[in-house]
Amino acid sequence: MAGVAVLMVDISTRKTIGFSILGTIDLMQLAQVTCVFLVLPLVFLRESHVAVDFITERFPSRLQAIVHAVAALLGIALLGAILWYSWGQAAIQLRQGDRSVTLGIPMAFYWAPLLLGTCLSIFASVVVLFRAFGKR
Amino acid sequence: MTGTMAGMLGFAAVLALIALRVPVAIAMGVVGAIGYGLVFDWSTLGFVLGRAPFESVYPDSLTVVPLFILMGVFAAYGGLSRSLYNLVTAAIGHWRGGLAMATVGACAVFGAVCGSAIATAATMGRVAMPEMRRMGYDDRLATASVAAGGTLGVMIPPSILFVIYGLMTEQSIGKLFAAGVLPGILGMLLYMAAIRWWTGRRPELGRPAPPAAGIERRRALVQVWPVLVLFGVVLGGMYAGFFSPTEAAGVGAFGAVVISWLAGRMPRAEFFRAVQETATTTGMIFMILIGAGIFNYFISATGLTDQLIQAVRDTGLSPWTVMVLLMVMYFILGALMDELAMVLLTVGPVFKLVVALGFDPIWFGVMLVTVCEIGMILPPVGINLFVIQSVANVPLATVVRGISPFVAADTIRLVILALVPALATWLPGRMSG
Repeated sequence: MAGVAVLMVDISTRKTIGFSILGTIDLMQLAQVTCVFLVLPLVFLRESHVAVDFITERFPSRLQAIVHAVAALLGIALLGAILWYSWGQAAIQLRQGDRSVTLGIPMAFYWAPLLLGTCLSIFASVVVLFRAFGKR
Repeated sequence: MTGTMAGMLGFAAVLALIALRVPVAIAMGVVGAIGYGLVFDWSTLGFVLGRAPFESVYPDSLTVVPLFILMGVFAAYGGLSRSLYNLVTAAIGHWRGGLAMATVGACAVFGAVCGSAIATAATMGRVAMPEMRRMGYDDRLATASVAAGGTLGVMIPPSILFVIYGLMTEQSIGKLFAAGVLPGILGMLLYMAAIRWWTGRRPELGRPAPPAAGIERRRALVQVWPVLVLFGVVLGGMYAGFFSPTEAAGVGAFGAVVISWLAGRMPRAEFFRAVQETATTTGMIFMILIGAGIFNYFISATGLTDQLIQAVRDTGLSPWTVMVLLMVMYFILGALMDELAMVLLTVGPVFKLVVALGFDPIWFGVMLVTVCEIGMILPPVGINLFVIQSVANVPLATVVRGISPFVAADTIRLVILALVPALATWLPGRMSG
């Protein structure tokens, strides 16, 4: 919503008095990165992913639970790898003092939601894993 | 093992994992990471896993995705669907099968402010199903008309599928939106023709409703004008070159929020639910983009795309034969998996093949979205079938039994688009900028 507000002010001032808000793109990108990565744990916790279950729903419930747990484990493994290597990339950008193009926002601000969101998504996946075992 | 073989095995592995209910994003990410390590280099895999998630979310060109989702969700929550349905029902509800046709028409107009087939079907279903049941419509016709009509949401701009296709293939989103207008209208007319044909053979399925009085029609028109203005500003602004797609999406999102608020249809609880739904839908789509980003590193490393193009050339098949085979492949994939995932999984290599064969990329985007629409109403995993099953509280078999005339209508549309590509390319060709 904050992104929409910034964009609307920018459009209206640019199209009417020819004045553009400096760094709209930087702010929109920051809003986007923050929104996407901080909402990912909720997506994992609620299992709101796109998944196909018309085959597994025919499985016996015990097998369904195992398949469910394997899916959660794969998610944890992938997210763990992403967190580990993203941490490295973020550290490099922090050391180099990289900043956004127009407003000069430190890139660490863009990486922080990624790291936090991925970390929380791992915890959410662990909850899903225990839930799957609980179904057995 | 050759790169091509590894690439093909990678696709097979993703499909196998998806069949085992592994989320599409995770399946693509895991196979992409392992495949990249095996085919290319384990030592650089860290770079891929460290960069791909950030690169999949950071680009400003992607800002258009959450903004159009926001616009669609607020249009759905804001009760705009009721006004649209009243207007179209007032116009054609007194025809035989008229309420089902009105449902399709209202879906088409609602699709003009909502880029999601699921949201369109769910929203219109809640409005149209009680009305059709009250008039004694058969559940097969009623549910199938909503399920099929809902798919128009991804053809008539703005469309999330066009946005994703445009971003993945570096095509103009504005031109893709313009390209979807005429095929979307054609789809609506063909669905209406299917209803007309069906109720002609079985009039008891959908008897005419009493004609609306003139005052009812005028009242419906007054209620609906803000929606039409919003659509006109968003698409007209883009078409005239006044707005970029991101700006149009921002204006659309802002407009949908304001219209819902002014109409008093958005209490605080609904507002927060809409924001929450926007956020989770955005997160879900971007997670697939992250998975696809990792998978695409792997596919690039295999060199599969170039070898696929060469292999197709070596077979000596004509471009149109290849196109038909591709459409058949998408029919099958669409029946088995989610359309967004299908596009993200396949569009990289397929797009390059199609362009190498001399087809227009904008036209192919429209063909692809049309096949996606069919996939959304094809069992066993046509998502709109499940949406309507849930909204109407009927057995899935009821919806499936009614869907075949609409699948036939979509297939006819696909053939018409193949025979008359100008239906998709004429409007984009006349765009400013």
